Formats: sequence, C-alpha cells, structure tokens
Amino acid sequence: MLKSKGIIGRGVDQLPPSGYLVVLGLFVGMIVLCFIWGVWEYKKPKDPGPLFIDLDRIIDERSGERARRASKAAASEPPAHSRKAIKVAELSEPTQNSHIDETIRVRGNVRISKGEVIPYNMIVEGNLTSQDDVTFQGGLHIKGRAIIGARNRIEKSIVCQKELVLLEDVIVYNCVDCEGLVFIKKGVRVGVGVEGGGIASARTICLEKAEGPLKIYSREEVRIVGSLKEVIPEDLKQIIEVKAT
Amino acid sequence: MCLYVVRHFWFFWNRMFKEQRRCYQDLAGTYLPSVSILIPLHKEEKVAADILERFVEMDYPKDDGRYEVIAIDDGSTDATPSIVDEYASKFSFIKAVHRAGNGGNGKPEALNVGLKVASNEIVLTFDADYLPPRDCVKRLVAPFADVEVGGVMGRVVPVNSPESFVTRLMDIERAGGYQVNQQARYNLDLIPQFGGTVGGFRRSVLKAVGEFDETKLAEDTDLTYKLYLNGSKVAYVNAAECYEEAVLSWDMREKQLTRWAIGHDQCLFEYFFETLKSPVLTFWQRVDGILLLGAYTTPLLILIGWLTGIFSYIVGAPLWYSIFPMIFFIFAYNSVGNFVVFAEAGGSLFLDQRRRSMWLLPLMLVNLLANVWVCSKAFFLAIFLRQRRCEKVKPPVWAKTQKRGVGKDNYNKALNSFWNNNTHRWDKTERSGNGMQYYNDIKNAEIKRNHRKRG
Repeated sequence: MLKSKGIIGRGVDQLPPSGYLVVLGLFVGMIVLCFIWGVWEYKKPKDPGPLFIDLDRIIDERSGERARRASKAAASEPPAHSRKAIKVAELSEPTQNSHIDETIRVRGNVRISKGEVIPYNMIVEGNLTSQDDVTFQGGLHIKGRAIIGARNRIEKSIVCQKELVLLEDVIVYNCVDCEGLVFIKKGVRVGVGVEGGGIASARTICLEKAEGPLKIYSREEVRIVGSLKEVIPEDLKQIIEVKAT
Repeated sequence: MCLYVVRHFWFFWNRMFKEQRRCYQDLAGTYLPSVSILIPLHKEEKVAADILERFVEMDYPKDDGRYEVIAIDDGSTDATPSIVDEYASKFSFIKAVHRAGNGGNGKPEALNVGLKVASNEIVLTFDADYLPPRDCVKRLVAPFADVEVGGVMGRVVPVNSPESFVTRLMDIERAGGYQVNQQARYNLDLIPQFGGTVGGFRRSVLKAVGEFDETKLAEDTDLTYKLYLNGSKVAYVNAAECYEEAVLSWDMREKQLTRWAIGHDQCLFEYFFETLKSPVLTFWQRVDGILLLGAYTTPLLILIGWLTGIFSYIVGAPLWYSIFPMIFFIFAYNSVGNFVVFAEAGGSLFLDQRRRSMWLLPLMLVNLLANVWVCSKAFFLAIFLRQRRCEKVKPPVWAKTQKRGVGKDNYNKALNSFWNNNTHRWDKTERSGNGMQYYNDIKNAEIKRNHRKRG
C-alpha cells in the first residue's frame, strides 16, 4: 500500500535540490547547536571563575563554616554538623616517637603473645589480637578487626578498617583512625607523642568514661558509657574473653 | 578502549553516587609530624616570592625543625636566587639551596638535590607557581599516620582560568581529573596517582626504591608505580586544594603534554609486566595499573579508531567485520567512549557548583583533538627515546654502504638534533606570574556574592 502511495520506492533522485540543502542545513545546524552555547559562555562568561579556595582558611574555620562554592568537592571532609569533637585534656609532656622504617605485611590473623616487643610497622591483612603489655615500636594497619590488649604501647598510629577495641591503659603515641566501631576502655591515652594525634572513626566511638588526653572525632556519635560490656557486640566479647584466658 | 569506557563510567558513578572515603581528614590538625617541603625553582622570579610567602603564612608549628621549606634555586639566571636568599635570611625555617653552574636539567634532578639537605621523614613537593591555602600542609600530612601510605596527593585547581581559551579548557580538564577520576580511584582502592606537586612521600620509602629517576620525564608516575610495587599506597586528599597557573597557549600546552605523555609512556614500557605480575597488588589494582599506564596511548588508539572508521566507510565494512571483529568495538567506542571524559568533567563541575561552565563542555572537543595529535606524536617519540637508550647500552651495527664515510656522522647528527629538539630537553612551563592577581579577583567577587546573598 505504501508503495502504491509512492512513499516507499521513491528514489533519492526524486528529492528536489532544495531538499538537499535542507538536509545539509539541518545537519550543520545540529552540529552548530552543540557548540553555540560553549561559544556564548566563552564570549560572555557567566561562570564565576575558578573554584574559590580561601587561601587564609585553616582547619577549624573550614570545618565550621564552608565557603559557599567550596564544593561537595571536599568529599573526603566531614560535613560540619556530623563532626563531633570532645577535647578532654592535653598531656603536658609529649613523648618522643621511635624511628622504625621497616614494615612487615602479614596475610591472615595475628595473635601476639604477652609482653612481646614488635620492632616493625605492621600491616595485617586479617584480624589482630594482642595480649597484655605488648610494645609495638612502629605503627599498625589492620584490614580486619583489632583487639589491643591492656597496657599495650603503640609508638606510632593505628589504622583499622573494621571494629577496634582498645583495652585498659593502652598508649598510642599518635593517631587512631578506624572505619568501624571503636570501643575504648578507661585509662587509654592517644596522641601523647611529640607529633600529636587523636581518634577518628567513620562509625560510633564508645568510651568507658572520658578520661585521658583524647581528641575524638566521629561521623556518627561519641558515646560515654559506664561499662563497655553494655555496648560491645557479642562476638567481640567472646574474643576478648578468650584472649583473657 | 572499551575497557577504558567502562572504567571511566564506573569512576563517574562511584564519585557521584557512592560513599566517599575520608582520607584521614578527621585527623588533620591533630597529627603534626615533622615535614620538609621542597620547591624547585628554575627562573621563577615572577612567582617565587608568592609561593614562599604562602609557606611563611602556612598554619603549621614552625618550631624545633618540625617544619622546613627548602627552596631549590635550580641554576636560575634571573632574580630567583636573590628572592630565595632574602626569604632564607628572614625566616629560619626556609633554606635556600643554589645550584650554581649547573641545574635546569629538570625537576627530578632538582628534587634529588633538595632531598640531600632535607632532614625530615615526610617530604612534600610543590611547583613554583602554586598557591596553597594555609591548611594545606596539615591536610597533606594527615594520611601519613597510616603506615601503609607511602605517598599523598592533593587537588590542583587552575587560578587563571579566565585568562584564555586554553586555560578555561584546562580548568575543566583538571576538575574532571581530580574531583572525579582521582577521588574515585582512591574510593575504589585502585591506584590514585602521585602527581609530583601538592603531594608528598615518605623519605624512607623513596630511599628503599631509589631516588627520583632523572631519565624519566614523568618522575611522579614513576614514583607512583615504585610505591605500589613496593607495597605502599598513595592517598588522595580532595580537601587539600591548591591553586596553580594553567598554561596559557596551545604552544605551551603542547610542550607540557608532550613531556607528560612521553614520561608516562616511558613508565608503560618499564612497569607493564611488573604491574601485571605483581604479587602485592590486588587483581583490580593490577587492571587499573595497566590501564593507567596506557592512559596516554588512548589518544593514539582513538586516532586509529577514527581512521579505521573512515577507511572502512569508504572501502566497505562487511569485509572488515569478517577479518577483524575488533572493528565492532572501535565503532562502539566511537559511539559512546569519546564522551566518557566529558561525563567526568561534567560531574566535577556539578559537584563544584559551576553549572554554567558545563556550557563549555562541547568545546572540550578541541582539547580532545589536540590531545589526539600531541599524544600520538609523543608515543612515537617515547619509542624513539627507548630505542635511543638501548643504543647507549648496545650500539647498533651500522651497515656501511656509502664510501664517503659520513653517513653515520650525519645520522648521529640528525638523531641528536631530533633528540635535543624534541625529547631530551626538560621543557620548562613559562609562568605569567598573575596567580595572586587572579586570586584577588576571585576573592573580591566571592565577597561581593556573599554580601549580595546576605543583603
């Protein structure tokens, strides 16, 4: 039927010369249309210019009130309203950090015996459990969860990607940075080294009483509890009990 | 090429819609290790005072050698040495290092000299035309609290984007490269790149992998791979933003891009198999590492794709289909893939709340064409460079056919001339020195906007 009406089967040669010009004009027009806005913006710019960075900004100012155009950009920076800070106290005499350059990487879970001295930086691709009185002369990076025993001393920082438990009287010279929940027993001190430091977590931080020189930042919540037993997950509790035996 | 398309759309998706990593920025300001800052300066009289002033004003404890700035005058013949000396005499934490009678052979050499006099474990490097905000150093050193981090990289923002057409395009390109690409690679635990400026590294880690390779034109990419293959990581800090002066003209852009592309291709030749077989990298890091190494070869592949497309259109595609099924992928890439970079740039402008700048996106096609030309040329220069380096080890046998005996001399002369004119020279990027002026304009405009908003 279409053929009988001449819609199909009409040869290209039947297109009048003006038709070619229209097709060509449409084609060129479509291309020009893509660029015309760009040329317009280039000739008469309304973009306010480069991203504004306040050269006088310092950390506190920036996290308190961010410049209007200073980007969601700062993706890696916490929004001010979710940043909670507790500054309990400063230690009067900072401690000198050790200079450990060697780093060991361990695949699997690690359990460190009581009183051991570890003269390396350690990257643990698993969980870490340390008994009491262990001294880490370097820093720790734990991909799994970590339970740091009582009176352990970490002469650099701890970075943990899952839950972290710091038992009684642990001393961390620099920082603690954790992606998971953090549980801190009483007497823990963080940031006592000359380089300073604090505790930061993407999740909730639970403290058994607020004492010691701690600077704490949590994206969720900082909770001060009477006893960690009230809040600590059951599976972690079991590990801690096994560790104690 | 199709892998690149998937990779970049994945980055775009991750940056726009997924959770972003914190990059230790909650610790910024509490962790303050000793830090040395290296600034290589070769004939930088227009900008030297500006950058040194920024580091004088930097918000960081400047006592007990905890903070030192090492200005390396790399054989300058202008007023740079006197500017550097003036600052060194005024401020005890600034050290002036002069390379009299030598220097000007490139940034890696200058950095190696600076490292000899740096006394701290954490070293940051900045180019001379950069204008860091006061919190920059605190933000950049924070990731070093993690023992796994060997290098760190901040975000670069061109300050002079209104200056010319090229600077406007560079502004968009940089935004896409950092805001979306680098951040996504960091989020996904792939291989964010140490860019050689607004960044830093642990000195002990650098020592373990050797110093900066002076034969490389992209010492930053080289160090990135050395770090990752050695078990360290690079942290990308998007919040550590820093202004730079972008190149003004196509001529300058060509020189800069040629240097980057050759340097990157040098790393491709050197680290390809090592990355592929590395036991310390994860599967996805290896995949990303290989694709990152080949990043500057993609313009050449695009060119081949375009030429193949035109050729097959003229000759007839069916035959090609039967011989090379790959042609299908080339068409697919040309249909969708070319737009992926535009998606990244658009995403970053959206995040930066610069929606009007998106109008310029179609004009990025000009930049793409320039990249295709320059990077394709650079790829062959990099091969030439590699061949040349091999020649030094094992000279080629010259089959003498001419009796005049001047053939080899002429060849060597031509080779040297080509070499010197194209690749061996470290093409210094000229600065206009207008960075602070542009910054003041932006700041005034921002103040006016804020007033208007409040009023």
